[in-house]
Amino acid sequence: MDFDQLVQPERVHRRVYNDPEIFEHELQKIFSVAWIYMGHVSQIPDPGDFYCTEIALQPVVMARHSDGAVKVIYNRCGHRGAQVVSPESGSAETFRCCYHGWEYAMDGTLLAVPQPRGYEESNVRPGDSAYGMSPVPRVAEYRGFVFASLSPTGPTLQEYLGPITSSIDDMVDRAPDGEIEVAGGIARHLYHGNWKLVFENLCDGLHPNCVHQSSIEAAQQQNDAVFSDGAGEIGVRQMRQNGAPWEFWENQVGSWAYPFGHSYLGDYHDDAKLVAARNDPSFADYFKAMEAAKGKERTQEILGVTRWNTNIYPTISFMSQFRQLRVIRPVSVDKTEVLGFCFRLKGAPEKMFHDTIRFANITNAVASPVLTDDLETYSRIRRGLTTEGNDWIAMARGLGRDAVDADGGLCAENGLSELHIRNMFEAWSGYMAA
Amino acid sequence: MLDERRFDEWLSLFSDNGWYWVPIEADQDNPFDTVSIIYDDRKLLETRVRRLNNTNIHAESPPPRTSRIVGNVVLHNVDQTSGNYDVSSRFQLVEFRGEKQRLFAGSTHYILRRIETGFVIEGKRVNLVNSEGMLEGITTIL
Repeated sequence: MDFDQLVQPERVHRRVYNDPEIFEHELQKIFSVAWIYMGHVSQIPDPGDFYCTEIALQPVVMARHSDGAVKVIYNRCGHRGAQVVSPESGSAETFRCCYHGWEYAMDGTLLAVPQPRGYEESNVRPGDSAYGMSPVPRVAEYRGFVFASLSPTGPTLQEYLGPITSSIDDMVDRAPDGEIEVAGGIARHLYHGNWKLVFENLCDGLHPNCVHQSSIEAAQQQNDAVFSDGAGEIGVRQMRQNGAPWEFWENQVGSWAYPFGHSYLGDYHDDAKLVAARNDPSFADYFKAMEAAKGKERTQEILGVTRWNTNIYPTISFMSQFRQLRVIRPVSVDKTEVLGFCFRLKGAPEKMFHDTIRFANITNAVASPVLTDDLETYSRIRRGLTTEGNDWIAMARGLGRDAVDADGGLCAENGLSELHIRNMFEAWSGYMAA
Repeated sequence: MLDERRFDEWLSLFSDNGWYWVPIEADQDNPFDTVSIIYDDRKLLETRVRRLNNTNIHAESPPPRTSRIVGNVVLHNVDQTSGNYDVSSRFQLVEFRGEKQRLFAGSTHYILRRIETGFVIEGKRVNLVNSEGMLEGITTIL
């Protein structure tokens, strides 16, 4: 298949969103090659802790081994092939298969086979790697964010992330104690549309005024004197902010793109509008803790970073301002699952974590007045792209107006650019051509 | 009332600081430490309802039609100090929108306060049987 023909400088062919054959190629050439986000180390703090996820539709387990190392193994019994670990997360002494009781260590080593008599003439032995739960070829972490790759070769995680590590730094550096942890459950949803759509949307500064018109108007008309325990404060402000004027998007927001398809949207809220860190008296304790731990100057520097969503292609989108992370999992060419996680900043007042939860309810919950209009849009794109009237989808906004950034990335003309989409397709073409 | 899309009337059943909560985790004991499918204080609930009445709500274009059956209504307790009634019920709700029909089921828990003319809702919690599952967008009020 000639994938080159499907991507042009300012538009892409609809098949990349709806052709099942291309989706199969993506699983092989992108999801089985790239570094895929597994989870955060705080999800498995102690030996025996595990969290189940997947790579390229294949179930895998991220687990903390007895020596403290983070392992990622295929979730498949070395004996008859059953999925071994069934709960999504938990803690266990060993992994034990439900079928014939083979037992494994957290690194997948076969520990014990019940009724070993009968295997004497075969190669089945505890410790034999051919009968273990196989480890995935590569696992690496950056500041607690664990990634795995099914490809034994290719760029290191550090090379793959490149300058976008600064967005992970932005997440972690905001913790007065220097550490963050996953907390507060998982907000899941499923949409009928291709997996790329959500990445494109999350750094799309052009859509909120149109897609979110109903929640923007509803929030603008809201009487602020009405009782709120905090949920409405965060939620209504976020919905109003989606209705920021075009000049705001053009002059203040910004958009940056990096190799391997990564990108981030810039300064979407200033502190006075939503993040509220600086002027909210309840955050005084947070500043005190930050300054005590990091000094005044460094604190200013850390909190001076005002990025909105960062996409690490092709698996996660996250943001430090409200400490959210979405994991995007393709299910099929037109079905995608999204898992929303929240982070707690260690050493920060608990109110900040409550605000994180409140914000997640507005942006990631399946019944959110905001998200539901995004999901409807994805679904309409899926239906629209079945038409044969026009094979091409535009990503032309801001074309030719990008500047080279100091760290080697591209800086879009403004926050309304579709640079991040063009950048993802440049990475897509690279993966698919390999 | 909700099946007839009389959202403003439904909202008027809530007290001035009433809340509406659909937790994700079955045993979730509060809406502050864990994400929810919905947690609206009075302010957010007003905004939610106003949006449902907005003609530009894409997710409800066309609007869903719903039909629900409520049963097993149980009065659990009347709090002697606050005078609040603790009431639960079970529901099944069929929703149809576009080409898709969905079935929701679960239990509803109310905290009701007696007033001269009847009751007001201080809190409404809905436990969906599949709240922890992979759901598609929900605009219908449960």
